[in-house]
Amino acid sequence: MPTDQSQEFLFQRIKELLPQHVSIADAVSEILHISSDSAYRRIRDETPLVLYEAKLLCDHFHISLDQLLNVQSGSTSFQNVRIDFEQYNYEQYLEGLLQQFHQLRNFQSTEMIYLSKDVPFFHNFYFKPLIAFRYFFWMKTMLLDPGFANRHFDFNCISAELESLSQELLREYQKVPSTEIWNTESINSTISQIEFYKDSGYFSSAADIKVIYEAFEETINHMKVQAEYGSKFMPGENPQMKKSNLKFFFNRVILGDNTILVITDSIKTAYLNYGLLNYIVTRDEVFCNDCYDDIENIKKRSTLLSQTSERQRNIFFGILLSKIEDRKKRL
Amino acid sequence: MNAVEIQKKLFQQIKTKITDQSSLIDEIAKLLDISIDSVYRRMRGEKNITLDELHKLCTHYSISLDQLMEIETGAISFQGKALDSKSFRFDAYLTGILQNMHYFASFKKNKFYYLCKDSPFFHHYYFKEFAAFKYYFWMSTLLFFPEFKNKKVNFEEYSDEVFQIGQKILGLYNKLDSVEIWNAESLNSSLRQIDYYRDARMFRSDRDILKVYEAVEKTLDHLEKQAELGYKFEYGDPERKPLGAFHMYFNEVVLGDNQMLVILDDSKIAFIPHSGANYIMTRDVSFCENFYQYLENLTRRSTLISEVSEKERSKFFKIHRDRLAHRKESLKV
Repeated sequence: MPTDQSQEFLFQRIKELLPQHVSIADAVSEILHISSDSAYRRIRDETPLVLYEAKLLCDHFHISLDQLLNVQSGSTSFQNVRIDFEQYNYEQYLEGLLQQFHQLRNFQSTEMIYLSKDVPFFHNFYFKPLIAFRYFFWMKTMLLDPGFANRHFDFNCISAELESLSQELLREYQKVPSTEIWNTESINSTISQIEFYKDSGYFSSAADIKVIYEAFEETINHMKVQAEYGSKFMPGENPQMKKSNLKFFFNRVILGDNTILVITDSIKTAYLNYGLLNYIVTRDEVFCNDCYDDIENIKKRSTLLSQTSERQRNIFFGILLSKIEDRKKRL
Repeated sequence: MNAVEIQKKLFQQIKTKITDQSSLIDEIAKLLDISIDSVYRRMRGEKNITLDELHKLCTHYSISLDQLMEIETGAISFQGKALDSKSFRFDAYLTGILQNMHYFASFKKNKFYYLCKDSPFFHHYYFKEFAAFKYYFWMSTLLFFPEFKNKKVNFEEYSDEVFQIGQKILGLYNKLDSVEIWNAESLNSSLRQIDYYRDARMFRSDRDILKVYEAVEKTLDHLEKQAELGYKFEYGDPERKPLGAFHMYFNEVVLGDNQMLVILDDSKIAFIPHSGANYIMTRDVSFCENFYQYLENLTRRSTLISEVSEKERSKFFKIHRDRLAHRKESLKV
């Protein structure tokens, strides 16, 4: 757009956003604390807006000047999803994720690609002891929930509602065809978190720690069976009744970074994880296509372990399980 | 934030976008069709910039107006293009980083936080063999350059020019105060990459592999010394003249992500990595502030191993050295 009509464009946009019965001069004079005459002069482009006034107007109407004036700043806009205690708690966070899974049903084809650094989020929710530990750790150590500050871990720390919400999320994830790219480090952070709590004296007994390690072990064993069948299902379910919807890769080249790409029909959405649970999300086409190409490159250098490569699969899961076994022995 | 502040911030950002600072005033005068004096008046905040002028400048220098004016659109704007193997040039990439480092170093107060997944990128440039290995790994394995396909790591062919840019970056990094949050896994990624190249027979000989291991080892030695002293100094400097402060943490709580946060006077910039080798960055105030709080929380839960905690420091470096030693033993040299 021409660079000599910026102010005109801004007021044009404000007019579009105002309800019909509100006069633009009244609105502008109120927001900028100026007389209606002064407001008119600005609207008619006789008096230039100072930048601060432009900012106030944009803030008020949530107008992006980059979009309005089509400035190619080379930037990508992301929505930020961040847990806090007042406006968006952990339960709302899980519900938000669940809702996004429900929205996936509106598409004919969906695919989720997970370049994992840690065990993919949803796989924490198979067994109760692990669900409880994850929850406690996130609340106490990462989100610094004051209610957890002086508490020791106990298996009843999580409410029945939150527990079933976690499992519901896992079930929804299991319905979506996915590609997971793991490496042998992907379980390290869970192990080091259990060890951190052990050393800090946050567990009541060694027996509790053992129960958590066993739940983690069962989780990894179950991942192995899912990789073998190339499908996602709950423990105890018959894999032969399930669709083949899991591609499991072992990547030796780089550690992943929990980048998630969701492809719905032809639209791609990228989720970048930060600070363990929080994420930023974008549908920017250029950005998502770049992510996709990069992950495809990593896949080319990785070994497909689902439905094939039995030997490599056994070696890979053997490494993971021996790390857990090793920790259990030291209890 | 008032109009003058926005204006000052605008010119600060423009400065980061151009290489030749001496032509800045002329360039702006021409762009806005005003006199040199008028440019100065705008830079000093004596004359208000109009929205049209702002639009022209932001379009020309690719600056986000939303970020500049901290407009609350509900979205966060990130910058950063993905590396593209069709147009990518390693020297240009490094030069871009060098330019950023110059900019960071130009602030009186600066602090660089690095939440390591791998050993920080800067440390690759102490020794040529390590830098060369990383270069081949990037070009061949991460970026798939066709001319690097099946090409073995060759230290002699690795350009001195590229290495020197890397060393300049390291030199500037060492001037900044830094906080590095490591964990026991932070060197694994490099070691695995070397393993991967060993298995794929991408080295010319075991002797070459040994050289890379030795370079990593010497880097660790230097880092340990810096950690002990609590400041950075130039490698090989007999006087160990102090450069930037060095705070090193041993974190056993989470695996890092190679995320970075730079504090420059009163502003913060966050760098978030994604899909393997790329970064995006933002100056979004609330995002950076929250990220800063997250890093501070992590440092509180980690062990400070610079200056103090000799025992934990030794333990930390021993973990890495043992892994190196184990690998060196299996070489036939």
